[in-house]
Amino acid sequence: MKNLESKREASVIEWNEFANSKKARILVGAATCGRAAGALDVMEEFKKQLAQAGLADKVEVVETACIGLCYAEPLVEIRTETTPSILYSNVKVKDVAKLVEQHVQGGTPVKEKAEAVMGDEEFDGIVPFAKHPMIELQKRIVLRNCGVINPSSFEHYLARGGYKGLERSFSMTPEEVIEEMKNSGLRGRGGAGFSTGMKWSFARASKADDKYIICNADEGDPGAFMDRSVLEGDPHSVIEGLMIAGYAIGAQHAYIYVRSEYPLAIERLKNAIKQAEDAGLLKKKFDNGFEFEIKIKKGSGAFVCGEETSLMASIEGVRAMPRPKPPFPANSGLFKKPTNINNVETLAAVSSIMRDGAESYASLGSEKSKGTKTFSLAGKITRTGLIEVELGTKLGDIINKIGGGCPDGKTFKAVQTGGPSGGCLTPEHFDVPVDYENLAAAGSIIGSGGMVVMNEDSCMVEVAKYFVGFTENESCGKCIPCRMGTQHVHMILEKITSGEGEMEDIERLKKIADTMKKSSLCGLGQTAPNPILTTLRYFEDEYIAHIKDKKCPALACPKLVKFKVDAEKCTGCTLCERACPTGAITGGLKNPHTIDLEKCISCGACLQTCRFGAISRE
Amino acid sequence: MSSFKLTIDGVVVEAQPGMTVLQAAKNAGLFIPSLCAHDELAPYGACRLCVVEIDGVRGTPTSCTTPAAEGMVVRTNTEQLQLQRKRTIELMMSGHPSPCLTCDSREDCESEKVTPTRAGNATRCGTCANRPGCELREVSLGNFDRDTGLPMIYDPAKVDHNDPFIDKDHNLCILCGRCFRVCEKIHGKPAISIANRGKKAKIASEFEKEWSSEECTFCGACVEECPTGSLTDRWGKWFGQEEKVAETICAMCPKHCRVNVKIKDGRIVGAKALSLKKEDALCALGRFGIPQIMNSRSRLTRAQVRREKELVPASGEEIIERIAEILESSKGKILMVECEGGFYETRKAIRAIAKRFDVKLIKMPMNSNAFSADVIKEIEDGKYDAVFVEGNYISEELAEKIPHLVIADFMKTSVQDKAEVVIPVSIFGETAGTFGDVNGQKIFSEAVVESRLDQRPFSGILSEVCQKFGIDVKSEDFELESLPADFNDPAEDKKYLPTQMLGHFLADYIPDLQKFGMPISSKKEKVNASFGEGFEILESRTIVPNFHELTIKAPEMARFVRPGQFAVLMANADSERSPFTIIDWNAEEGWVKFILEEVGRSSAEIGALKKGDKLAVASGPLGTPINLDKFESGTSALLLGGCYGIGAIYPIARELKARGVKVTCAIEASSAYLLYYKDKLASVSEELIIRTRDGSEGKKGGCKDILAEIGSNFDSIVAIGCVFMMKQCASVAPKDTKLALCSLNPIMVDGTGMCGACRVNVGGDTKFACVEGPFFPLLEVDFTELGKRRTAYKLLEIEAMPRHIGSKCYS
Repeated sequence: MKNLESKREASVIEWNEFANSKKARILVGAATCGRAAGALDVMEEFKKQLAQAGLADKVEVVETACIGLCYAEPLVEIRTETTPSILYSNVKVKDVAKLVEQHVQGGTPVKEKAEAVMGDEEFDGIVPFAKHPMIELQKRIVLRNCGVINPSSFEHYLARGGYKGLERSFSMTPEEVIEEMKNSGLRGRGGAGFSTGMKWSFARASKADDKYIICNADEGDPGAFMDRSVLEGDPHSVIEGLMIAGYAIGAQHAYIYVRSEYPLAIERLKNAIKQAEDAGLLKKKFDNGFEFEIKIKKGSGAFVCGEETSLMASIEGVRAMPRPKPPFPANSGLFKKPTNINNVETLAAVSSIMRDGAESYASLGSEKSKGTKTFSLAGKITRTGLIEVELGTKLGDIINKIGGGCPDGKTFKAVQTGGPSGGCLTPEHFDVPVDYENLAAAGSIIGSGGMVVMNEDSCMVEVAKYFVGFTENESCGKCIPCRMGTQHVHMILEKITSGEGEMEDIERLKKIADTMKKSSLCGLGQTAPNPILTTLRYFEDEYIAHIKDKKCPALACPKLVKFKVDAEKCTGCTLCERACPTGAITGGLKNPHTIDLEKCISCGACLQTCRFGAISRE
Repeated sequence: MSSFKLTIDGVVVEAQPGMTVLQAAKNAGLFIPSLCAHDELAPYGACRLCVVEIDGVRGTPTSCTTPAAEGMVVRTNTEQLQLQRKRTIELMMSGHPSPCLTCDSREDCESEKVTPTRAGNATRCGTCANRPGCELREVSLGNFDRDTGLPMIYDPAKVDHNDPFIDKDHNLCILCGRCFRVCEKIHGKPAISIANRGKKAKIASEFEKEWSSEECTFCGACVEECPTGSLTDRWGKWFGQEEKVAETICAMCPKHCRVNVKIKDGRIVGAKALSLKKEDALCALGRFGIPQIMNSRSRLTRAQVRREKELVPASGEEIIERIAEILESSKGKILMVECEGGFYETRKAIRAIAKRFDVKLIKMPMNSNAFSADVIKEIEDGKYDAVFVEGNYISEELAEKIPHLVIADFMKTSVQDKAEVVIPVSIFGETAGTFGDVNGQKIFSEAVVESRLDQRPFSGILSEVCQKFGIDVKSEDFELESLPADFNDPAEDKKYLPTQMLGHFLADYIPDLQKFGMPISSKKEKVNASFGEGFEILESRTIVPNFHELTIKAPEMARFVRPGQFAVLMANADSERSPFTIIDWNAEEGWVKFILEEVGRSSAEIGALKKGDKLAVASGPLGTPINLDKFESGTSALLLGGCYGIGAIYPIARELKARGVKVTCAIEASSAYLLYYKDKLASVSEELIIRTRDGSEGKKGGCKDILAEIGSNFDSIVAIGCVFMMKQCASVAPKDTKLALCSLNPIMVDGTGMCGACRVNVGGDTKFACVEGPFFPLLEVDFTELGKRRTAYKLLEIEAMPRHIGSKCYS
């Protein structure tokens, strides 16, 4: 590790130059989320404008990752010699010229586009990042580097204390490292929430020549993107975590199983692994005899591969299906060798815990759920994005303070936590501390950390149908309760949302759900009915409305909603007529329009295009 | 490690290390239901039926995957577990066509129809070839009642006949994984696995290609281990469970594998490997070919000798006498053929005779079909006065050049017409005898079935000839060939399968082999090619699985049809004659429409025809039309239809409605996916009542229940359906109904009252259904006798079943 120390000194200098100097600099958040919003075009535009202004040599444009404010993408940070780094939101190509002219050249921040000023202090009336409503309540440990460093820079990671956790681990015996993990209270962040230290101790106890450690980066929950952001924003934190875990359990080989839908994450990981190899961290024997290699295995987008035995089967090159346990992976896992699987977030937390000590981590969180947890906020929420909070933070604080509640003045109805395996929580749970125990008690789970917010326009039967449809398609098909159960519950929900349900269907759903929970082979099937059970628990009245009244209270189920035109309000602008995909709307210019319900598929296109509020639903 | 004890359901049982809880229970004679578990395969845990409760273990683990351990306390049958199992079975059965299992009349129906109906699609147990051996059925019976009311998922598109030998019906598959696990066990890398996810998951080879194009060797182990009817032996499946299994030797290639053959009714109906070990794996021919060869309709069964110019049947003595004459008269100018790999006894006798009579002896390798050019030239040059040959090596042209031709063969050929002596021989399995193993060591196999008619082992004939001349056969002992070093094992790869046996192209008799690109003889191809003039099919569509609606161009017939009549249809000139119900016609346009239920060979052949094809025969209309005058205007009629009867009542309902009769139609089917003509019938009746046997549509039950409930409200009743359905109706029909008719469907041949096959017992009198029927008083028919008569040709019917391979129907 000595040669790492010399590197670290140089890195700190480089980092200070990057982060703390007064040198003009532009950062563009260009993780997948930023890129989807147009970040790469924006970055090119900056380069072009700077070149035109003759500033190409003077102002560096650097690509960084996701800082978590996805709703505001593309995000750009501009620092000049006279201004601190200002974070701009929703930067479009057309905004670049002004930003360059006014801020970079003129030294005056463009206030109307400014989201925050980086740091703790206000500047020119712009709120400091630390006080930003989405940030203020956060505690960023796993996300410590995301959007802050250049994710392709080994030096940046090193300068910010990178690989110090590994160094500290090497100063301890593997058993002591495991003890440290136990003391930290870290629990697996992939969903199951099992004590990481305990898990490691099992793998440690297994005697074998070869052992494996696997990083599960097969993030498959709809609406979840925590792992992607970490891999894209701070790949070394995961590599360091893997090495610590490898040292602790005595594994020599590691796989990172990452879904192929994450090309940027794979690219960043490959780069980081290469850097670690070049730095002598990987594929080289340390003085203490530890030698470690990391391979990347691309998954092909099967949700069931999030289940550890399926994931291992996939790495082995056979069909991904869960295997019966026992034998447990700790005894006989990948290639029948003792194997330990940890999730991306867990491993990123590991490197931080080993650097700063178990105590500081354990001081965070609630009694049984220590530390922090990342969540992705998605759906009908004002500030979508990636956050990290202490476990035990109240649900209401996450939804309303951090997320800013529902946009457009709509009323919050529920949030689905834990993806398709989880359940929904309602306003009555706003005071519930979000941790493993309390969410379980409310019928949901933390899962990997996805939070999909629903508002008054969301039909909860439809929501359940959506998630069950997802698991129906993603069921590997191996065991009967999951394969057949998901099909049937999906058909029943389809029936209900089409207005053809019967009251017996509710009982039927419960019976099938019970069988799936009790009899399914793996977690996918066991948890697949959760969205149904929680929506039934909290929104049974919506089910009944669909069945008895043949009405969708949220006016969301196409087959139960009728659209009509208010002739008084209709100006005959023909916008809706042109938007209608089935030609159901007729009327012509300046005449009140009418909707032919036979042709109408209730897609809602007219409602969205009408500027006069003339379209209504019932 | 030594054995240990655990407690299962209060019983202390002993288990060996490595045993699962399921094995420990089984070992102790305790039963836990399971499907995917298999003693020779690794634990899999998919069917979830063997769930148990174990003290100290969370939830309900599967006993097939949980290792037994010292001191374990296991419960296998608590109320909770029973409920869990029941629900799992309900879910399983909702994706498996199983309406029969919840039908209230199942026992009665199955005691009437002892064997399943030989339909194209297994839409229920009653039409599933695997009914007798179905493990799923065994586990499910009595274990569930479908109280969750789940719909039945059935998709006719999931039936796949594209591969040779194996019929695949993914509707029946429960994905227990035994097939690909056994494949993996035997072959290392499995040729099949599960493709796709969720509801689309199915057993398939890579990228769902045909198995014949993939690594599959067609060893058939998957078919053997399939607990349901989803993978079946296309040829053998309808024979049902074998009565016994016997070991014999397959002599289709020089490897001479030992094979277990399945025997039923004295014939070989299947084959399987001795074990699931790789070294015992069979090739496609060994597994699927043997019974097809053995039972081929082309087998030669009659011994014949030429008298004057005619070949006439001959006794064994006559045959030997004639052979002796030829040997003596042609001595020195005789050619004999010895088949390598054939019975040691036969070869020994040939060698002995050859020595005595100064015979030119040539050896034919196993996989060949013609003599060498030199030998042909010699024959053409008239060098030989007599030729003795076992097999089909001589062309008709060549046969002309041979004054005395003695042919022994197991199949009929046209060249036999030119022979002087024709000897039908029995082959391996039918003949006790000796072969060489891979090292040339002698191995003996018993005859496991009797040969038919005049068939005898060729060695037997020859040794009698030797006896006659006092030739010592024993002294002819010789060393058998060991397997050549360059031998390619067909069990390893199907490309090494032999294409010929004793000079016959195997694909001639086993059409499945054509899928592997194997050649057939040029003569064979011509058969089935044309239908003659025939009757054009204007439209053919499958309404529900196994039920076809067929419209043919038959202007003459169309002119004379009246409701209730039928016609005899034949797909090919050599098909059997079978009656089919006419449901609609148009005299002006000259077409007639039939409803056709697939129940066996004829219906399957016709069902496979497409628009534009031609029927060889359509003779009709036949039968006495229903006497519509007996239904008075203003009265009410209840028409009951099941199976093909749903279609059959349509023209009657239509006519009655036109005559002002108040018609109520009532139809039944096993499950909702077998109901058809609902709209059609509703349009010609005041009311349409629907019943399904599994309650998936309408009330649970059948026509019988409707008749019992409301039958007395009607002035007349007509019931048309299977014998069982009509019998059930007869049992509850009000005795005082003025008019209660049924339409009978006995075996018919000519359909004109000549053959008498259709005789039925009505009110104690014998009637001919084809001319006096098909309509008879419902309450007077002896349905039990009718049912029995209908099964008279069961075995022949099974033998005659056509094979659907790809889109072709081989019959």
